[in-house]
Amino acid sequence: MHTKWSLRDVIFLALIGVFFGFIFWAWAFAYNAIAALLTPMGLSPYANDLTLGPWVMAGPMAGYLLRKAGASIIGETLAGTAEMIFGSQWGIMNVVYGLMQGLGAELGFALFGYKKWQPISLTASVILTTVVTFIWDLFQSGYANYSFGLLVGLFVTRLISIALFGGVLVYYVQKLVDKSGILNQTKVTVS
Amino acid sequence: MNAGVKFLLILIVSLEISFTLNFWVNVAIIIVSGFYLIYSRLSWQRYALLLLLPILPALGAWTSFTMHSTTENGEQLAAIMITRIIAYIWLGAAFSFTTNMSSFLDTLEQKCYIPTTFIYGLRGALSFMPHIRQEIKTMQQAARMRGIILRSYSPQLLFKAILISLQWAERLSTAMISHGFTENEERTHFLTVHINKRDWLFAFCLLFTLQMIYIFS
Repeated sequence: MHTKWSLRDVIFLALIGVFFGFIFWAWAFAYNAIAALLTPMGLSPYANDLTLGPWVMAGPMAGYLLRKAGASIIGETLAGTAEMIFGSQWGIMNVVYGLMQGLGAELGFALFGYKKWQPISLTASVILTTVVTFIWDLFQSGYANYSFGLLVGLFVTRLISIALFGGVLVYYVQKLVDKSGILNQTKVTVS
Repeated sequence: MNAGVKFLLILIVSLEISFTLNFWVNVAIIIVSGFYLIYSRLSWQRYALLLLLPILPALGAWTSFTMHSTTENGEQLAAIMITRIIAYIWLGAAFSFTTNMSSFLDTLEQKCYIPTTFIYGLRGALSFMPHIRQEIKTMQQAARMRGIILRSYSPQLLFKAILISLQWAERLSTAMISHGFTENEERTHFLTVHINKRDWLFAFCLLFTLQMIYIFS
């Protein structure tokens, strides 16, 4: 594990952020459709938690690909920044969301000293991302004022969504990356 | 107003309203950012977007907080949340719709001393943005020719996106370095960023007024 950031790493991270941001940009429609369906029952926060998974993928993916301290948090924050520049409706809060989501994933990998890049550390990152983003939403989206039953439901929904996208899907992409061997290639270094 | 000062001001205000519940502060922010957006003369499509965007989240907040909140005064809480949502969207627009990203990155580089590798890496990656939609379409169509449908959640599509990112990053960084970019080296600037004292003063006054509204409302 090395911690120095090269230009190539930064561009790579930012591009992954932009790609992932764009691929899941389509999810904004799904989010709006689900939110519209749930609004009459007062359950629109479920739309939030149900669709959160795709947006937190860039963090664990970047952490795994670069295997550096800080890759998840920087990757996810860059993704948020790129999304803001793309013209997302949430503007500056995208950067803050990115920071929070990246922080969760980062903590998961840090727990294992950035040495384990296996399902166990990915699981830790899924759980911690859920917890960190949920605490953030207690304030930011006013979740603290919902009834306990709704909160439990929202937390479980969020955990499932993040586990599916930030866990299972990331794991399968990692397997493809491993099989291709692109990470083991001797890197072309120009300096 | 300097992009960096604006960013900082909007960030502080956004964080502040995240942790406080005050209807009048939110309203004041909406009014100020609304005036700023009108003053910035955006296209009518953008104004329409800014009016339409908050509708669904606002309705969602209204029904969820009036039906499921633990406080007795659900309507009041819902009103705060609705104004907060509008404030976020308009504050965000007050930055992203009116700010030149390049000058924002200039400020980050020259005034916030973010390493140049990050600034120029980001600049480089952002220049690829217009190609990304096309690239994803290409991947999907190439797969369709072989009878495979790649959806946005297919691991194959994400894997290909990673491959492309790696390839572009490799090429772009090589190109930048061969054109004389040296990582984290001191740079000279064609455009030097100056932040006027007036900008700081203006930002400070706005923040001060906001705190006064907190105290007196």
